Amino acid sequence: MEHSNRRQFLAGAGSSLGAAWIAANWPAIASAHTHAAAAALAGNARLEVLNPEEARDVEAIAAQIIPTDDTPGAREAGALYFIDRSLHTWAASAAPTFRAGLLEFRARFAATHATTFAAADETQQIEFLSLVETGAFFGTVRFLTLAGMFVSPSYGGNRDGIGWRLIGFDDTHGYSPPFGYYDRDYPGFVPPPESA
Amino acid sequence: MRVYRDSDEIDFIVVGSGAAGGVMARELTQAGFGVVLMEQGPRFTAQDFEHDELKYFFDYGITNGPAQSPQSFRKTPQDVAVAPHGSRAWLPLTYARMVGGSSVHFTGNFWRFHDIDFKERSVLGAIPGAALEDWPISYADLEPYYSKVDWEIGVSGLAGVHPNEPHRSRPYPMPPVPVKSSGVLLERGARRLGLHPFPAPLAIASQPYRGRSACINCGFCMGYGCEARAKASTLYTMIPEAEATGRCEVRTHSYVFRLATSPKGRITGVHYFDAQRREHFQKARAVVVCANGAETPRLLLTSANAQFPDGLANSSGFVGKHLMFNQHAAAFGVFEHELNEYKSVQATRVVHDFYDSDPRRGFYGGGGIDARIGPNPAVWALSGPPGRQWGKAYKDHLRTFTRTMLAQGHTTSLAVEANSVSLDPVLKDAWGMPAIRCTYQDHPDDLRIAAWMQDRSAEILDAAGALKVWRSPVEESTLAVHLLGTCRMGNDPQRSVIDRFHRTHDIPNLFLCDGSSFVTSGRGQPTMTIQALAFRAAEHIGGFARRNEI
Repeated sequence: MEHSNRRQFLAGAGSSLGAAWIAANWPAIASAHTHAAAAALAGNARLEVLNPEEARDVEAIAAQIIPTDDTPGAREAGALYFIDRSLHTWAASAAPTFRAGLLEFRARFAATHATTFAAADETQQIEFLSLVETGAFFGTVRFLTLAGMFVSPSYGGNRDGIGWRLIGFDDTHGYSPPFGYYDRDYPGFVPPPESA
Repeated sequence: MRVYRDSDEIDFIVVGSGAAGGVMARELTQAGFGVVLMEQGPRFTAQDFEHDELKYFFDYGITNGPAQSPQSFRKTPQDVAVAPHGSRAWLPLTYARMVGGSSVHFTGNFWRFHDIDFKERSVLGAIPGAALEDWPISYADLEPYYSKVDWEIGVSGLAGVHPNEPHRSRPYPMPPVPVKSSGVLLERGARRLGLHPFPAPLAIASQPYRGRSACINCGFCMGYGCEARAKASTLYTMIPEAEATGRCEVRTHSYVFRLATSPKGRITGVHYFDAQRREHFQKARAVVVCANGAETPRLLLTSANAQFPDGLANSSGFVGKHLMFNQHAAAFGVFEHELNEYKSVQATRVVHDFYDSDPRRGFYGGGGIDARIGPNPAVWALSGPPGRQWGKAYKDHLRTFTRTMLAQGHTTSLAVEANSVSLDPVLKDAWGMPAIRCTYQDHPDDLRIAAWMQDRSAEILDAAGALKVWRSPVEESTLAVHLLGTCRMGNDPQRSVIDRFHRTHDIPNLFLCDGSSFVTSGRGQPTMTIQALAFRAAEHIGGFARRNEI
């Protein structure tokens, strides 16, 4: 998505900045960001680090962090796939701690429940997460879930820009004023009389 | 580009190519001197920069990172410093590690200091628990160089529109950037309270300037490199101009780890590692260290030798001490309609009515308040209001992204001797050099003024008609990007590291210029002053060299 928006921007489409403006003001643009294509490897649905059972629990935790309501949540955004990919790429150094935390999480849940966390009902899940929400493992899952929903889709999460659509972030490469409601009819800066 | 050999005795080595080093290299080469500009990081171009939160905010894309350059942290000298662990662990002291340094990833808020910043000790008297001192220079001494920054670096703004604006000899060269909704609301709220908001001075081009483009309002300033070359990094401004003289070599991937001294106690050159971690020695007649408020004192300390057992230029014992961060405190306002603050620069309106310290408040401190975006999407999602930060209600909170703005207080830090950069006794970096140990605990007044300014910020948001105002808690600082005060300037060699011309008191051909030179912290936007100091220092250093006084 980021890539297609970059391409739109380069072409002058999808933005109010004309191609001529770009040519005049940003000569380096022609060669810019060609490498972005290589980075846009979104949507790899294979898991490299987590086994299927672990993955179901991690996805269920993520789905309670950003639940699905009238709009998609962490599950639909593919936060699980972002998390798995992070654990063998940029956040690989955190993988052993993550796995140990997950083991402990699952063991603790199993000690008081007849099912896995993923198979438990919503009330049980929320109740249990409330008990562990201040712990390091939950903190890491929360961090990775939110990062997975809101960083570039090229990292495997935020599928179809689900996170960005949730909050209203429009991933266009540049913008022109007015930016929002309140600056629409701004008359220009007028200093108050006493400071003029 | 000019290339020098290690064996050439060049006029100047400038260590560090950031906000100060870029200015220094440009001024010294334009004055006719040969300069090697040493940079430990790589050189990027505008095409390399991306809108990539993960890379820039979570994966140390352009900053110093814990894998190569770990640091340890403790609150007081009585504590044992520990290194933060894990992939989320930010270093205590962060800077951009690349040509242009932190001027590449800064936000570009270019506030001048006011007259009062240079003489608070005289005006206010001593503050218990703090080493508050006057600067050995005044605002009037620095004013011509602030104007030089405005025009040579490129600052947009509007002069003469707020009552406590410091004197300026020239107007801004560019008009302010377009106002954002947050700016309109800050202006509205502040005026209702009788305050005097004004357009934020920014080192961001509002129109094409000196070969650079105007801002395209992309919203990725804070923490990012500018793809439009509108944000005035020395990567785009000073350094190409230095190279154009034919007398400047920018030597990248060159990590200066020790300064060498002669038996006479003069600097002879610098030892550095190249990209393959091979050791080199570059000769020079004089060295200017502009490596930032963390790395400059560290280099002086790692350069300790038999003649200077406590580190170079450290007869005062002050190298690394009096570290200052600036405190910050934000109030978040949620409004009825869309603001879309993620578009365009961080801040377009500023309030300086609370700039001065006021004894009637009962504590030291002052600052400014700006209207700003705050974070990009992922950091927004991670930093919600106090309370449960997950679940259905939290998802609803996240939906207020486009209707939320920050009014952020940027406030003082008092110099406290124990707050410092020192060498960790155990921890080493990837090159085997001692790691930075940061010791820091805010002076109680720093936390008071931050909380007080947060109250004022919340009042402004209320007056602007916010439906809801929430706050991030004011906490003790453990992370910083403003690295100030660690080689303070002064007239007394026993109480400062450099003199008023940035020459170290102890070594005649060693100069220091960057955030480490600061005597007080200012109000949270240090780069403008770092660069004004660099223009001024370069003029004097060049004069000394011409008159054979080095």
